[in-house]
Amino acid sequence: MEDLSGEWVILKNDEIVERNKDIRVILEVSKKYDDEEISISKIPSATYCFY
Amino acid sequence: MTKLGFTFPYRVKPGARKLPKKIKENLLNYPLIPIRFYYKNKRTPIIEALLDSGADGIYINRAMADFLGLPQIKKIESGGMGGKYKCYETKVGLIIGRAGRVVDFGIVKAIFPENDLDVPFLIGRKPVFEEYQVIFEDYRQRFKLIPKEIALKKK
Repeated sequence: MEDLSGEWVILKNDEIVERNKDIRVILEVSKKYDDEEISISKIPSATYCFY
Repeated sequence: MTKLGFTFPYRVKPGARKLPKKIKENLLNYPLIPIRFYYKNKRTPIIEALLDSGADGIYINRAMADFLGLPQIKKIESGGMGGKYKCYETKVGLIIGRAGRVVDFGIVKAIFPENDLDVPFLIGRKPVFEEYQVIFEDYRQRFKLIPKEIALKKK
């Protein structure tokens, strides 16, 4: 599985359809989708995260 | 605000959700809550935010604040994991839930950093934990939000 650590993604039916390290890009790209169908999420940057 | 109760499953990280169950069982799961932010005439798609009982409030990132045109109400200092960060207090509309089962919290307080950090959106205690009994059931891989009015009646 490709390492996408730390990237922001757009999910459609739990499949990654867009990815980028910059959420600004993801927010712009999200406009081309019907927003009822997608989710924006972030892939953790490390195995264990403590925010 | 009309409140609904919610039960959400824990989720593995994006990219791993279509893996066989046997593999997913060995991966970390997260209490990700579907939310939307809004401000004036702008609204985000659904966002998977981390429901974080250790966070005091709502954390968004700078890019989202810019995207929605959120105001910088005042500069503050916030901290996490031993570090301190310059942040701004702001206000933003918060909706939790999805697919027609949603609760609109209205405009709530949030903070965003001066310089973006490698952190997801965090839904901390204020205001969600003030309005809901929140039960993390790691042994069932799910979490529940029970309206406080219902939780208080049960006592």
